[in-house]
Amino acid sequence: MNFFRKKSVAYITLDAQDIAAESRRLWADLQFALEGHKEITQVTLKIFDEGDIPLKLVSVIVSMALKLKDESVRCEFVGTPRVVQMLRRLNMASAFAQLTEAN
Amino acid sequence: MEINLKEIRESFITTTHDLLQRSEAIALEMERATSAEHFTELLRAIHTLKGNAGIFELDQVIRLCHAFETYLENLRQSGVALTSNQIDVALTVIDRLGRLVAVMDDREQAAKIGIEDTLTLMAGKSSTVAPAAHASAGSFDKLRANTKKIKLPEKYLADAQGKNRYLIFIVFDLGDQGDLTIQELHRQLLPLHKVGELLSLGVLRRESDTSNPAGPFLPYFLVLSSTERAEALIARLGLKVLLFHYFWEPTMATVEMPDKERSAIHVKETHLKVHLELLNSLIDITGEIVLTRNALVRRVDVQHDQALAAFTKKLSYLVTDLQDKVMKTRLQALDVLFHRFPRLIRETAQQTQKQAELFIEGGDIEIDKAIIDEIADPLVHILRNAVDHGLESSTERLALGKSAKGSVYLRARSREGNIVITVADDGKGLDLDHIRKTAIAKGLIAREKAAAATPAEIADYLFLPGLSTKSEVTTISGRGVGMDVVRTNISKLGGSVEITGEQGKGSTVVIVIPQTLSILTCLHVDISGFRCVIPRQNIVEVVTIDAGRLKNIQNKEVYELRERLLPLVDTGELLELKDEEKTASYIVVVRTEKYHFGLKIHAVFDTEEVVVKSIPQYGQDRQVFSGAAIMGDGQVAPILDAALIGKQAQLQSNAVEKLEMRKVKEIGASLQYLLFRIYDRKFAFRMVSQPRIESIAPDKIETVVDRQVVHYRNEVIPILSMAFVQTASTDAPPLTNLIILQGDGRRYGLLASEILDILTDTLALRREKTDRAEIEGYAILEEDTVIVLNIEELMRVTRGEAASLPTGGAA
Repeated sequence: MNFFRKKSVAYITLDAQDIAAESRRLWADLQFALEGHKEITQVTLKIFDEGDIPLKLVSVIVSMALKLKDESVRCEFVGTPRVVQMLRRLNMASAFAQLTEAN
Repeated sequence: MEINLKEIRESFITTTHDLLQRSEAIALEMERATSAEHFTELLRAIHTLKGNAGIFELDQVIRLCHAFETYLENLRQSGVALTSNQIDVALTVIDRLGRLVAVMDDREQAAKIGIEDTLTLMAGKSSTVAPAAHASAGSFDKLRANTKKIKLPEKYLADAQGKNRYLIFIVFDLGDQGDLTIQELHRQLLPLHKVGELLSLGVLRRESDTSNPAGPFLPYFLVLSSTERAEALIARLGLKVLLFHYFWEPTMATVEMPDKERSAIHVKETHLKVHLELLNSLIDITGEIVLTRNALVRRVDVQHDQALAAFTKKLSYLVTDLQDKVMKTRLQALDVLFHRFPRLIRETAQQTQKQAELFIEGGDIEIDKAIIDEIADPLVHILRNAVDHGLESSTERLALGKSAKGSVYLRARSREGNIVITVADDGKGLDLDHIRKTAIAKGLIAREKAAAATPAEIADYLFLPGLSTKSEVTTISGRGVGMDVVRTNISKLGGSVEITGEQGKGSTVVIVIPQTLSILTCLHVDISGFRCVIPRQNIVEVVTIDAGRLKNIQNKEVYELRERLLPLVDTGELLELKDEEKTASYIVVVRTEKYHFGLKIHAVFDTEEVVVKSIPQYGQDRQVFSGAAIMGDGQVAPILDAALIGKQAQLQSNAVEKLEMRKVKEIGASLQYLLFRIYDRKFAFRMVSQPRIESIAPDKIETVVDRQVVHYRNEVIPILSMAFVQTASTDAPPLTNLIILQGDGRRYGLLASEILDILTDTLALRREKTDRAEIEGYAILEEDTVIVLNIEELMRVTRGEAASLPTGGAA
């Protein structure tokens, strides 16, 4: 996992290892990464994977986006066109403040 | 030895049905308190079923039983009380086993039903390693309850109803689908268009949980309109589903009963080993035989041919016996219907987030199968209402000083040829003011009329079409299309339904229905030249009018009958047949569950067994007929319904009835006994109503088949068996007094040597454990020992329903 912060925006990039990780561990890692950054107003989550992503990962990122939304923090998702398209088709887009397709 | 596979198959189906019924009952008991015995009994039942299924090579049943045994074993070893969630799993497995056995001959259908989802369900719920935070039973129950309350757009419901499809709501945990990917999920949803339509999908945001450090819980839902049931859809999807609900089932249009219950009933029908159509045609033929017999008896009466008359008497008795037996073939214990209600109450309570327990009495009472089928729907509706409308939430109940768990009582009892079914609850009762306001607001009743209505009339508004006091529409109630349908269905059976309730003290629904349909014994009467019949089961007695006993109290006509004031209904006036030239000569005293009054009539003819036909429900406001009877001469006569007349005449609320009650109280609680002699021994019995006593010539008494009968007014009446009374000598004088008694909707005769007296007294009875059941006890009267008979038991023995064993001691 790659995490860095620029002013009030946090950037999180998940790599192949995170994608394959157990949900519980990934969730704990994300919580740990965002812990203590109360002044953050936006989180940009990036997944660059050519293939498909497992539902357990989708569950974690959508849950995180919903949690952030409840805390009034915008969550932007950046992923491959195929993954973004699937999130839209399966009605999960509303969890995110913005979905961005990136190759 | 030749093996009869058909018989083995039928035996297997019957045994399976019993095993599953028992398993369901155990599972429901386990929810209250789980014990090791429960596990042992349930495991034994499932193990037996597994062994039996092996004979027919029902692989799916065997696999499911095996997995269920493992599931139960794990739960037993865990040693903790079962959660509601685990009971749900057990009930789902039991249902599935029932469905698989019901289609055991159709392997394709069985494969379609499948077991994979049920196996998954068990694997998921019995896992000892918590898969995620959501695995706790409490949160699962909350999820189940919350999702049941979700309001789907009306267009979804309309679409499913219009296309006669299931409207299904499926929930699964997005994070608990193994290695399934987002694209694979999308691909799996695509083929659903083959069986229906995917109406909506998405994350159940309000039910998601991100507070647990162990991981998030993200439930995801699908709303489908489908031609397939949820179980088949889930198998098709291959998802690990948490739960599903039906928001609409095609069967709801007629009977709100899941298929699984229908299949269970089907199994029961097969057990009769006679096709129902055949039984129905047997009833029809018997009806025609009764009509022909009645016509024949009329002809023979004018022929004065003694030999022919003797044959006709025997034929008449045999036809009555045949009719009795044919009717019995259709009788089924109410348990057939009642056994499914504990589960119904449980599920309704879950849906409404309340606690409720059902108490059942009288499930052993037998009733015509056609009636059971017809009352199933209304009872389901009333019981669901009792939980949804009647009971308060646990919090509200505790605040009111009641127990957290509400009680619903379902009682059945037999009374004067009718079955009385009562559904009562200890909930909030009826808010009459709210009912009145709702009825006015919905334009169902005029404001002025509502203002003057009595509490009983206001409670009756609940049966108006379109009246629902619920502000929200849920899957259970609130559409206002319930109680009016209940009343219509019950009325079609010739029955009645009433609701009463007091705010804060619960409400009671009383259904009165006839025990059997088709053929009734009726008294044929004339009202101002108009012929009609009154069912004998409602008739207490017929008295000739003594003008001096007619009184007028508060503009109501009453008749003084044996120190009591009997409210009278001028039947001619009620039917708008008033003929000033004719005066009523008789009073037919009738009694129903609610009323006791007299009907003024002009002439009384014979009693006759009539074939009942339904008539259109015209003039609902003045409805006093429950059907029409085809008489022996082929003419049609309407059947007067005493309960409806009582209601029309507003007897319940008038002062006369109160006066009568006061008079009854003045007389006190003493009982009346008829004292008589049989040979040299004195006997007595408690009189419920005034018996008719006639002199009878010894030659009128004959033995037909194996019992004594007497021919009385075109009717063959069985004589109560008093075989245990020893005559003093062989040349004892014949018994020449016939006491006509009524019970169980028919007449019986009791022969006596001499009628001695009517006693109004409270006799001190003594009884030994070894005494016959027909003897209620012994009393000393004027230094003589009097044997007090139990007439009901005597009737039972005569009908051949009971052995004359002592009731008090061991047999």
